This record gives sequence, C-alpha cells and structure tokens, in this order.
Amino acid sequence: MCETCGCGDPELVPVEIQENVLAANDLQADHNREHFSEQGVLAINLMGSPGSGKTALLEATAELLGDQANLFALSGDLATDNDAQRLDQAGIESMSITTGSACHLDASLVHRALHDLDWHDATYLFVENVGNLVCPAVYDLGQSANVVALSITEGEDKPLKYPVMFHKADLVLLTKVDLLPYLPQIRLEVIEDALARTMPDPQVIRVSAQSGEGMSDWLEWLEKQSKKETALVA
Amino acid sequence: MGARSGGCEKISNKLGTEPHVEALWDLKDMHEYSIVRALLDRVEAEARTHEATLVYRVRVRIGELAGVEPELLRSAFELVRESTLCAGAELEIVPSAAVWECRDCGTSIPRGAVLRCQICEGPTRLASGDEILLEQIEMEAA
Repeated sequence: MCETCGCGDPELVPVEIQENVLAANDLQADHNREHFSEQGVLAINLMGSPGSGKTALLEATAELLGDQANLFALSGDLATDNDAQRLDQAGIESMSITTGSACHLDASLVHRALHDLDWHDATYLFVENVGNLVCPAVYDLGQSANVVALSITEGEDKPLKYPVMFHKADLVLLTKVDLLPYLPQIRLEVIEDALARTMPDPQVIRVSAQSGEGMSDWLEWLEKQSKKETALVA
Repeated sequence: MGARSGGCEKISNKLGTEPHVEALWDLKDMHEYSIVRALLDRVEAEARTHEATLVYRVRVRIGELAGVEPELLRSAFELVRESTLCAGAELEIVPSAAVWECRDCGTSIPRGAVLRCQICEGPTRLASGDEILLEQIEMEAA
C-alpha cells in the first residue's frame, strides 16, 4: 500500500536488475566450456550462411588430417541429418541436432547432444551451427573460438550487412576461392576491407575445399588454437 | 558421459526451459522469442521475490550489435506476456549504439572506419553496443 499519503493505492516499486537476459544460456555455455577445457578439446563454433561451405570445409579438413587428429562434430540442422551423415562418411564422428524450426543452436541443445556423443578423445570438436548469418552469433555455446565460413559467391558486402555475426568471429574463412575466375564482379580485397570494418582483430584465410588452396593455413590455425587450449589445461 | 551427468542435471534443472504459452506462429522460430522467454522467466522470478502482484514496466537495453530486432522483440513480448504477471506490462527498449575503442590506448574509432587504432595501430574492442540487458522492473508491491 502507498505509505506516502495512505490513499490505499498500490505502490509502484522500481527494482534495478542490470543483468544479461541470456544469463541462463551463458551459465550453461560456461558449463560446456568447462567440460571442453577439462579434456583439452578445442571446440569450434562454425557458423555461416546456408551453402557457405561449412560441411565441405569439414570434409576436406578430415581428409587432410587423416589419423593425425580425432575429429568430432555436432551438426545443427532445421530438418535433416544430412550434414551429420556426410561428416560421418568423411570420418568425423557426428551427432545431429535437429532444431525443428529454430534458427540457431543454444548452449543447452549442445549440452544435451554432448551426452550422446563420446567426444572426450576429440582433438577438435566442431559445432556446425544452423546456416544463418544472424541468430547463431547471439548464443554462446561454450566454444573456444567462433569461425565463420563466408563464400565468395555471397557478394562483397555481407560483413557490412551482417556485422553482428562478423564482430564475434575469431576467424573468417573466405570459402570457394577456386570459383574466383568465374566471378569477375567479386573483389576479394573489397570483402577483406569490409571484414576489417567489422572484426576487431581480423583474421582471414582464403580457402577452397575443392582445390585445397589455403587449407594448410586453416589446419595451422587450428593447431595453434589447440595448443593454446592444452596449455591452459597443463 | 556417465559419471559426469550428476553435475550436468543439476545445471539443466536450474535453467528450466518450460515455455509460458504455446504460441503457434512464426514468431516462435525467431530467436527474439526465446530471448523474451528468458526475459519473462527472470522478471517473474524477481516479482515473486518481491511478492509483487503485477508488473507495470520492464526496461531493457538492446545494443546495435546484439543481434536483436527491437520490433520483433516487442511483438514476441506482447505474445508471450499473456498469462504471466507481465500481461499488462509495457516493454521499454533503450537502444545502445556500437562504440569501438582501441584495446590498448582507449582511443575511440569513428563509425564505419576500419577497426584499427589510428594512434597506436592496436586491435580494437567493443566498448558497448552488444548488450541484451534487463535493466529495471517496475512492479506493484504487495
């Protein structure tokens, strides 16, 4: 009751909170991260548009690495488990997370899937997110690094149009560069300039899963990140 | 993961993901919908702590680079708030612009520029502009 004048009206109380709305997701993400770092597993949140070449990149990665690393993947997909099947065939032990119509993975979906996949011996655990350039960037999954696959066929201005995705990327892989001769309108330096305006510490590798161009740089980057991760465990 | 599952369940229970309402339209597919659900869970928990009977206003701060579309957030809020303490509540959205600055010397970076310090050439960081923050709840105390 209002105590100021005793009028009997209910009292309005402002309560200061100042708390992240996604605090529950972040808590779950930290929990996932703890699991990963306990095991010295490098977890990569791989994001990008539908068709940007995320699965093809992982297939090529598996082919090149062969027995040198244990690869695992969780694959987010709206309706099918096609990607997980492709990854399995490529030698990456995979689990599909079918999201129904949800546009992104969140930390608890990843956590549930982790219970169904024996990932503890992984060198790298790739979380292939739902193909989408907006929503996946909003949710921390517990990853060590965000990698965005951006295919050169998507146009030059995507980083400027979707800054939310790119400002969170630790690494951008410019994919399908083998198609450059057929795309006279695409200038890689313009894409890279757009990335420099959206990424706080731009790291960009030009790759082609088809021709193998740039793949050794990508593998080197992975190895470097993995060493950082295991150094933290030790 | 056998031996670990005890700790995991504890966390999962803490999070709780039951929806407030079973909304059956496209908005449910948007991540703004899941953000609103998380928001209302938090607001209701706070209201219960204060034994409040009604929530009048919820103020959130949404950064330009938060990946949240204010209008979609508002629509989702209006949909999900029914049958909660927020049924009649107003959602106030305070926008927050993206501000980039040098990680080392703090110099601010002009909008649209290359994100590299013009003074010391160091890498930059986002000082503000990616918040999805519940700032304040105005409620009716018992």
